[in-house]
This record gives sequence, C-alpha cells and structure tokens, in this order.
Amino acid sequence: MSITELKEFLWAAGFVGNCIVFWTLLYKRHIYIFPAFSALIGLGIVRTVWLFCIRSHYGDTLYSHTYYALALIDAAVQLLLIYEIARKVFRRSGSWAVDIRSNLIVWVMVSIAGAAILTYMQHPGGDDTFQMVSKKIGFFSVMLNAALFVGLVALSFKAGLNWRSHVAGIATGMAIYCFAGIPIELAARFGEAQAQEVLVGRLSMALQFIYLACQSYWVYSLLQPEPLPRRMSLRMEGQVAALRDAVVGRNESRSKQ
Amino acid sequence: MNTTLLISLGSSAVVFVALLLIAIQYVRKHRASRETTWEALMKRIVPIDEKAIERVALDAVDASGEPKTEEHSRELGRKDIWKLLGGMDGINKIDNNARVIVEMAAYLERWHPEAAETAEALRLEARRLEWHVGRLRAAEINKCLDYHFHSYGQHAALSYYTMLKRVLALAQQNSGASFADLQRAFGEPLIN
Repeated sequence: MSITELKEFLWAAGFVGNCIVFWTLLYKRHIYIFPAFSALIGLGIVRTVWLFCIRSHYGDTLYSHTYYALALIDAAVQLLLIYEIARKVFRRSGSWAVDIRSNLIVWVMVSIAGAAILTYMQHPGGDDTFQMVSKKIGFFSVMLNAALFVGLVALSFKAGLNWRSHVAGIATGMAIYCFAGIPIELAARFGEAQAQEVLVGRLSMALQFIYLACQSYWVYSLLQPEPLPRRMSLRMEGQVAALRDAVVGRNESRSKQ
Repeated sequence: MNTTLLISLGSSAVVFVALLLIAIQYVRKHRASRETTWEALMKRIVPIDEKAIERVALDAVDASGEPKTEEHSRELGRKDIWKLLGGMDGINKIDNNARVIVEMAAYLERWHPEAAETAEALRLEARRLEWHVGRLRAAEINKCLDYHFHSYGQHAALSYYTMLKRVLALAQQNSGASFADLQRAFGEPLIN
C-alpha cells in the first residue's frame, strides 16, 4: 500500500469509526448524557464529509483553510468535553463539590498559563499565518487537555470522588489521544525545522492510528453497562449507619451554631 | 540545531513527562481504590490514643460543647498538646484515618448508591480533618510548627474526637456486633 493509499484508508477508517461511535451514542441513548462528546464525534463526521466535498470540487487553498478552521472548532469542542467530564465527576448533586472548587479553579488557571507559555515558545512551519496560528492552537489544545485531565484525576482521587465507567471510558480515550498528540506535535516541529516532510507525514498518520484505537475503545466502553450496585451485608449496614450518625449529627450541630 | 527550537521542544517535553508520570500515578491509585474491599479499608484504620485525643479536644470546647473563644481559658499549653497528640506522628495517624474515611466514602458511593448521602457527609467531614492536617504540614515545611501546632492540631483532634464520640455513643446504644468492628478499628470507647 502506498503512502497516498494509506492516507486515504486512514481518512475513510476515521470517518467510519466516528459514525460507529455516534451510532453507539444514539443506540445506548448516551447522546443526551454526553452532549459535548456527541458534538465532538458529530463534528468529526461533518468535517470529513465537508472536506471531501471541498477537495473534490475546489482547490487546495480552500481545502487547507477549511481544514485548519475546522480544527479550531474541534479544539474548542474538546475543551467543552473536558468541562462536561469535570461536571460529571465534581457536580453530582447539582452543585460543585465545595472542597475542590478552589483547587480546581487554580489548576485550570495554571494549566491555561502553562499551555499558553509552551505554545508561545513553539514556532511551527506553515504556508501562511493562518496555518501557523491553527497549528499553535492545536498544540495549545492537546497540552491544555492533558494538563486538565491530570488535574481532574488527581483532584478526584484526593477528594474521594468516583468516575462512572462511561465517563472514565470517554476521558481515558481522550487523554490517550492528547498524551500521544504532545510528543507527535513536538516531533513534527522538529521534523519541520529539519525539513523532513516524510517524518511529519508519518507522525500525522501515527496520530490517526491512535485515534482509531481510541474510537474502538469508546465503542467498547460505551456498550458496556454501568456496574450494578452491590447488596450491603447486615454488618456493613450497621457500620454505615454508625458513620452516618457520626457525621450527619455533627453537621447538624454545626449548622445550629 | 537552533537553540530556540531546542529550548521550546525541551521545555514542552519536560512538562509532558511530568504530566504523564502524575497521570499514571493517579490512574493507578484510582484503580487500586476501585478494587479494594470494605474489610480491607477497615483494616487500614490505625487505632489512636483516644484518651489523649479526648483531652485535647475537650480543652477546645466548653461544657455545652461550644468552642472556647478566649485563648487563656484553655488549660493545655503548646507543649502539652504536642505531647498528648504525639507530635506529627500522632497527626500522621489522624491523617491516615481521614484518608481511609475518604476512601470509605468513595467505596460507598460507588457500590451502594442508597448510601450516597452518608458517603458525601463522611467525605466532607474527612476533608475538613485533612485541611487542618494540611495546614500543619505546611507549618512544618515553613519551620513554624511550634507556633501553629496547638491551634491546627487541636482543631484536628476536636474534629476527629467528635466524629468518633458519636460513632461510639451509637455503638453503646445499639451494642450491635457491627459497631464492635468500628470500636476495634478506631480504638476503645471514649464514653464510659
């Protein structure tokens, strides 16, 4: 298979993969539970169709500009997905967990600042300013998403907050894609500086292969049911009742003060 | 190679490796927490010298249970509180138990949705405890532990004591076999 054929294959496979993920979201009725994730996958489908039409009927310049413009929208929807995941983990009962709110805000600020500084230091190659800015925003997006993911995992562990299996599945796929994206982006910058176009092309294909793996993982995890609740033993029921009285009773006495 | 490129790639690579290591560490912790059992959590609770905790805690509240506001009305001095709580070793034990309680809350929330309210209350209580312990650790790092230990340590002791007092008072009322497990795990009853 030639490089061009392999590129075509990855393009088609990515499109089919997105369609399968979207069908799974619809079939399992997750589309209302995960609107940002559904939008991200839906955008992937629309983007492929749109770009295919532009490539077939219009020139390379329009294709390139549309490609990078849609990549910007994709980066914005990825941030919405991170917010959606944070809401599912930290905002269970309608309000954000009080004990992590300030830490979460600090981590978001630090992540944005860190990703912005590292992006500012990057000097990607490109045919024009638009392409360069788009590449920079792409790098900012993967760096920020990876940092936010780390923050969500660490804070949720410290606060004793669980990840439901579907949220964990979506977040894991997203994190793998972002974490794989960072070294690939860095290697691409190196390749551009050394004028190694073949290397840059191969790295881009490597990222597409990783995305295919993530799609498979998403389909698998979204098709799995959430684990069923367990039945408490009598002994454990007693222990839980004791602990409940201990803490709820204290909270009540505090509120009276 | 261009120095600017080297610096930009190097700094991004360092941040990437750091993020990756932290992510792996916490994903492992989440996985270990998900696979633990209730009994295993109970075993991780470290018994604490409850008489000492009681003395320190009761020094911070008056007869009605209201916190004492005047510093001079408290009997225990800084050295007494340090000695009774066992210094940072004692605080570390309290911290360990608070961490276990947080994991107990996560366990309950995960496997027993009917106990979600209890889990959240437990979690917040243990987090309050952790906050006081966190301030003590910061004071230790800043080498001003002597100055802050009596205040944060006493708050931690009071928080821990109040929680245990209610657990064990209920244990006395119910005298159920299950409460005996809690008594054994946390220490002997505080109420005679």
